[in-house]
Amino acid sequence: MNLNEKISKEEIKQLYSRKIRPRIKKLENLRRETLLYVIIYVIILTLVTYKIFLYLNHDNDVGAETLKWLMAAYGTVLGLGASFISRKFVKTFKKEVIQELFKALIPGSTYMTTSFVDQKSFKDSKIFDSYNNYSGEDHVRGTIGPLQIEFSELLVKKEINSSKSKTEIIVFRGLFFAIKLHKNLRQNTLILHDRSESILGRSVGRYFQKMSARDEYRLVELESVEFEKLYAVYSNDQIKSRVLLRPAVMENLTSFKKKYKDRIDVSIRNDRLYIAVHCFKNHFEPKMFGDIISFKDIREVYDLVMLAREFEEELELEKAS
Amino acid sequence: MFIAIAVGLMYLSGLFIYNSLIGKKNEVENAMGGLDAQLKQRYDLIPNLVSSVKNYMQHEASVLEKIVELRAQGLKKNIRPGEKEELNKEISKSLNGLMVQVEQYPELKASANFQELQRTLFSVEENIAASRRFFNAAVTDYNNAIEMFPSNVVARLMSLKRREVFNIPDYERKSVSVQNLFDGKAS
Repeated sequence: MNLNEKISKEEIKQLYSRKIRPRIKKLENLRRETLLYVIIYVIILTLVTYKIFLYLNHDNDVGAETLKWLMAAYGTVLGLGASFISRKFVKTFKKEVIQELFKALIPGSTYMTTSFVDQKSFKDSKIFDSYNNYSGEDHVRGTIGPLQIEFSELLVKKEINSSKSKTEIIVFRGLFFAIKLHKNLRQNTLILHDRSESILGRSVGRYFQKMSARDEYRLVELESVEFEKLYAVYSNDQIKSRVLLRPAVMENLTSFKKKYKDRIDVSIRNDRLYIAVHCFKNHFEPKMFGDIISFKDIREVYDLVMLAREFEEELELEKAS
Repeated sequence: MFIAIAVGLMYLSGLFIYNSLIGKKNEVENAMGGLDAQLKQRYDLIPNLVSSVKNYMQHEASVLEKIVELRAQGLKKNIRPGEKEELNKEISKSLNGLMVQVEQYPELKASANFQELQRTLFSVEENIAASRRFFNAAVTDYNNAIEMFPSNVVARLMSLKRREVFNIPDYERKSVSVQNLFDGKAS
């Protein structure tokens, strides 16, 4: 079973019950032990924090500012401590379960928990223009059909400095795919989630889309109204981008977007395809309560990886000259 | 003071609209230039195509002669744009018809040289279709600008005229007779 062919729901169930479930059972004791340590830690930390509060408030004079700092410190120490305690469990889960899952879905693939897609690939995609902090995990590399594929979870942030304060915004959080195609399409094209046209309407939305074009990219105005509501396309070649986005392909991508609700941004740079799937959920972490990982979670992982493969198929790159 | 500001704003708006209209007009010319480049590429393919198929398709000599004749007319320097477009439509029709006829010549179909030519021709036809779509998008944008308020005011002063988009030829609007295709007749 592998991603070269479509996998049925039944086959994923079999994968889950034959290969994943036995490994989850082995981790059950470790999960209970880790949960117990975390609960004990939370209780002790809460008691210590309460003691500190009582000490500071012995004259009933603890100010709101002090209380705020105390709560912030409590939250930070709680999070760091719980993360430290559970790291062995998370590491074992990723080695025993996630690695096995990807071996089954993408034979011959490598999986590294702490590694992530190279920043150069992310920058080369030109999907996002500026950021400061780049980190990630759960890096997979392999071959699906004729495609060399790598992906990982990424968390990319940008600092915004104002005169009063410094804030951090999330530029991208989700799965990022970098795929080497087997042909060079000789174009740089961005197919981005539409922000302007769906909110502001066609005329005003298009104006802002044109203004947003950067570097060598210019807005490509396509004929399909449905497609234009969902995507904004920019390219350095108005003709080649239209060869790629033929009416049949636009229809495929419109159906695709209706099927998968996640926000997706795509970049084609000559012989490279980059796909950014925005999602806030961490798909490769175990749960402390209930099932460590359920069939539904496995199905979501499969759907996410297939999403990139399906998107590449919808582009019908074989037919694009 | 307010009058001066109002006049200044009107002047700047007029300048912005003027530049925008020039940009759209040039974009239409650019799109036309891109299409011409693709059509030239097709013209260059035709001699190679004709020499590859003529020994096999002796019964289609008239079709091949027609394609060569149309190509020669298309390359004339003093040809009007409307006439050129009609010629290109005829070339497309003739080439499509030829490709259907090729199905009756298995030896030709199997020829590596012909297959390569066919792939190149297919790629060029895709590029021509994409170029036409780009031209239509540029013309639509231009036409919208010269007809919508307030840019139509400036457009009238610049004597800018509406441009026509590419339409499919009448024969392509008709339903295709699959039976005729199998019988080797024009659809």
